[in-house]
Amino acid sequence: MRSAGAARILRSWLPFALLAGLFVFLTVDAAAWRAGLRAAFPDQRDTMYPRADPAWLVGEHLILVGVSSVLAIACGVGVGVLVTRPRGRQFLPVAEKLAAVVQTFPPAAVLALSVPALGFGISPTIAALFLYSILPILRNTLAGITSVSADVTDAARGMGMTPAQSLARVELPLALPVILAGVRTSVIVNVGTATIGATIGAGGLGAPIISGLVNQNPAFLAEGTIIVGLMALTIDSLFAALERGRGTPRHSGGASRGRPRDSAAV
Amino acid sequence: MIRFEGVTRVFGTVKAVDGLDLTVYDRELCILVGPSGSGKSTMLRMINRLIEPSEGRITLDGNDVTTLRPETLRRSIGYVIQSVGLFPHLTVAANIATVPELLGWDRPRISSRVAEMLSLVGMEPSLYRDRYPSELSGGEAQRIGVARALASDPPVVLMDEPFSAVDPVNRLRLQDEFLSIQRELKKTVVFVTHDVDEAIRLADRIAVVRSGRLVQYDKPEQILENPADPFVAAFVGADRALKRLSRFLVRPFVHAAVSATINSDLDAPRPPGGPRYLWVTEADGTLLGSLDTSLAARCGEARACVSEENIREMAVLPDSSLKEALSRMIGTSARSLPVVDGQFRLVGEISLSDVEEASEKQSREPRGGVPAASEGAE
Repeated sequence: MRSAGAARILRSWLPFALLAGLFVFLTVDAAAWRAGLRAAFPDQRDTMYPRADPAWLVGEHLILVGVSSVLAIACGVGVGVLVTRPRGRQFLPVAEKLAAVVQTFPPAAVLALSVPALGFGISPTIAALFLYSILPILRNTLAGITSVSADVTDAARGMGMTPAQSLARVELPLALPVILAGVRTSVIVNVGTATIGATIGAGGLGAPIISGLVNQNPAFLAEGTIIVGLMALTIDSLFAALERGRGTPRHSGGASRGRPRDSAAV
Repeated sequence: MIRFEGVTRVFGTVKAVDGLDLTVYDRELCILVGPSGSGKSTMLRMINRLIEPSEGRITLDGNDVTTLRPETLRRSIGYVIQSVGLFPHLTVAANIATVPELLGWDRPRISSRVAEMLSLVGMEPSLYRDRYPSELSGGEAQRIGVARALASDPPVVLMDEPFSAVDPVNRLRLQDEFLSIQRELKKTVVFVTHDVDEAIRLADRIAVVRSGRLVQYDKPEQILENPADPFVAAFVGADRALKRLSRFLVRPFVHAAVSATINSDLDAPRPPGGPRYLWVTEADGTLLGSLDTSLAARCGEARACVSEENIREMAVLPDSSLKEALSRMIGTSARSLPVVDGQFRLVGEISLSDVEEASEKQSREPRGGVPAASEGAE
């Protein structure tokens, strides 16, 4: 039993461990980059983005993604919970529509629009990423909470749970897999989208990419895209491991479970 | 004691419950029965304040339920719903522990209570505690629902169509199990169903509800005997004499059977006017079949003439209902049936005249027998 459990944990976390190891190595070891890029692009004079180390760029990028994602999770889940409470129900359709409308703007347009309001640099980028990543989180929070069967919430209430207890003990745990899937989508998309922040001076891994495009230097491009891609894969595998780690048998629907086996097991 | 005093509940323009006065007595199983949309569920849900009355008041042991915080009130009342409503992300044990946890019991006490509850509903604790609801059959889930409602030992239990989502065979079994639990625990139970047969089988007292109003409130025998109006008569059905028989067990009417063992010699002269049939058994009493006594003289040994035809369909248990016995008599064209124990050993017989006698007797003394325990058992 124990070894089976250990094997399962190993299997779920192995992809993440490998990707994370590679990612950290490429982030920290600038010398390896220099050698690798020089070999790959021998006819380029500059083979590495000169203004900052990969580690610095990764740090900036993580701040952009991290701050915007944390804000989006807090806001998306928060609003999702509020509009599914009895008092907030009337705002549910509004919240759904609003989030959908925001999502239809291309991120570059949101970025351009937020410059006049917030200036250049990190803050307009974070604002754009935040707005852009709310929808998947909000939509999945709503889907997760509203898919909890009415019988289950009725039972929770009927047995004497307060609304807060019902939310914390029943609704959120049941909605969690769906919410996590939304967070996963939005964070991964954010990692990629954050690169365009470099166009308005937010730095991050977009900087070598933009610089590579402007200077027609494929080595810069490779440096930025490889690390950004690896970052996205690493974070994605982290979510995958988290989801698999919670792999208890469950059905978020609740209402019809077990019926088909009725006569067999009773 | 639960008392409704002039309780009305309006939804929009519809009066779901209209001026209800009803007293549910302590330690009784009171069944609210009526067609869909008659307001019976609303009545039930007002007791634990899942729905608040528009007018009137509900008291529990003399105290107005609105004087308590809804959560406090609900934690003191067991609650079982039709679709069970088990929490799919929690184990069976955690589901049963819900109310004790809300009440702040300590871990050892909760753990031993969970085991006790599982045993009460006939499920092996070590086998089921760590399962998830998705790993249970419908019948098992429903048992857990009952165990969860009883976990904190509440004096009052509300059950909203608890067995209606289960298939008919398992429903009968769940009803039987629930009856035996109720006989032991003697809770004050308010039970909602649209199934008249279920109400008659289980109830100490039946409240027939129609369009939010109480039409008749009485013991099942009385409802069947003297329906208050044509609606009740129609609702309980034209077969209410038969339904009445479902309240009686075979047991008190069993009398000694005329039988012969398989090897016995039938040459001995029989008194004329004796029974036309006799039951044939193994030496240990296991029922084998029946034998036409008019042929007996020509048989020599019982083995030669025994008919095993229909014998499985004829045999009833002492705990079967008279309704079942009558149905088997009609089904097998027999005027008397063998009564067997769990091992199919002959313990006596019951005849049509016994059933007739019972239906006459019950008119004179209502509640002549305990509710039938097992219908549909083999």
